[in-house]
Amino acid sequence: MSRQIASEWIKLRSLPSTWFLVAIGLIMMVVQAVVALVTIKDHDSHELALGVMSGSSVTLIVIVGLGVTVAAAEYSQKSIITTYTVTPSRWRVVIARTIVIAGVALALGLLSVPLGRLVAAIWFTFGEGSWNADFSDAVKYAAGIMIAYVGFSVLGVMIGTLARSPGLGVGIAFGLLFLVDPLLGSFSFYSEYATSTAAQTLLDPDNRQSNQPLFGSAIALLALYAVILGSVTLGVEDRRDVHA
Amino acid sequence: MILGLARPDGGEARVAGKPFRELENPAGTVGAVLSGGAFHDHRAARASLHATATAAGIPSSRIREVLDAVGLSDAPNRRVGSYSLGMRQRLALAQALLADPDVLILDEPGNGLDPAGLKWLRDTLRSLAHDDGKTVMLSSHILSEVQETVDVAVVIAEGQLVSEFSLAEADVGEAVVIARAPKAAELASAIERDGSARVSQDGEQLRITGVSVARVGEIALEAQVALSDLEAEHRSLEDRYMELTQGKGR
Repeated sequence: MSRQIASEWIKLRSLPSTWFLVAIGLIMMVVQAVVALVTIKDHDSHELALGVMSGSSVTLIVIVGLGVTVAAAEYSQKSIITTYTVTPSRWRVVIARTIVIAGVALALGLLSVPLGRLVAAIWFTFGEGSWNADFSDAVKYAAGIMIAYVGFSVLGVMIGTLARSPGLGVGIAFGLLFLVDPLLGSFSFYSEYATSTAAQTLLDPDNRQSNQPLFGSAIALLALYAVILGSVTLGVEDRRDVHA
Repeated sequence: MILGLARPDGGEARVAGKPFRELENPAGTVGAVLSGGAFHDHRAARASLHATATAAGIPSSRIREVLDAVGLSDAPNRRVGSYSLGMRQRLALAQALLADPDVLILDEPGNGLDPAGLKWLRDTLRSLAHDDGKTVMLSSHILSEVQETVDVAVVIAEGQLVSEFSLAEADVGEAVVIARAPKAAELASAIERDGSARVSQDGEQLRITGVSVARVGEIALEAQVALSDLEAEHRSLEDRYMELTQGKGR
């Protein structure tokens, strides 16, 4: 499995689009922090510190896009033929790819809080106000952001693998995760089970609304969805033909 | 189906005695060139080979060797999307050779190659088969190219195996000399005494392989046998294919 993971990492890092999307994700984190600094007027508040640290939803979307396009492009570009002729065990390939994309998502999540704090530090150097959040807040926020990013990256890879077309995959992923799911989440019977509300809880745990799942429930929910979609994907992928 | 990419309606394909998916070292057993080289357009050639080599547990030093072998050592860092069709074919062959497999499966490997490239491919494949002892399977619709490359042909039409034959034994590619003479038996004896030519007689007509039309004329003159007709007939693999399939091959 380590060889497959290394191979998938080489494939991922050798595509310019990967670095473009990672750059977009990082920029959106900075934008998120700047928006919080601009919009939250009380510069000495704890609320401001939490606003700066809360993870970027746009970066979450970018991560889903990365997972979908990397997985689906293997099929649209037909490089999956080479992949499967070297590693015929398809579940190994899909899992290795998922681990690599999740690793990138984890790294982005890990950077989120320090980057927010860096932006705030620079902001406070030139303006008034001060930082007011302790280390435990930072750890809690970083953990939530990392889990949300990793969970959504897994969903992205699975949707891309099932769709086998970047265009179709992006359409399905965004339609399901960022349109249908939030729409259903507006109804009380589903809101606590929606991936969108789970993401909101994880990205900004101190501003949890009553219709959002608890922090632990959000983690469990995202893990459950990832496992279900992952199992379906592996089952389908093992039986589907790859056309040369 | 051989490579486990598609499921057959029935039966199974085995490579080295096992279904492909069960091979312990698939890349070291079979190297494949399918779809004119299955590469991501936006990835550099060397990175594509590096990913494959890593997955197969092959040292990266092997990448330079195979790039040299296919004549792409001057363009390893270019994106595959900027390669010509011929360069992609060469890169695909390099990828197939990475693990030095015993068997090569090539689908239309000559697509996009210029005449010099086709000759290079032909020489390379024949060398891999005859000098390195590899089994090289290639599928192609360009039968003239197949005829110049392979030793054994398998004809499949409408999903059915129609025939498997050695090109040498089927006289494919060789010029067949057709000679007609009232004393055909005398001429046949004279030709057989002359060397390694193979002669078959049908009444006054002889079909002779392994000797030129000019030499048959000289032998007839030396044997004082009058000829009523003498011509060379080239039997191509395409002729043989059409005979076998009555043009129904798909």
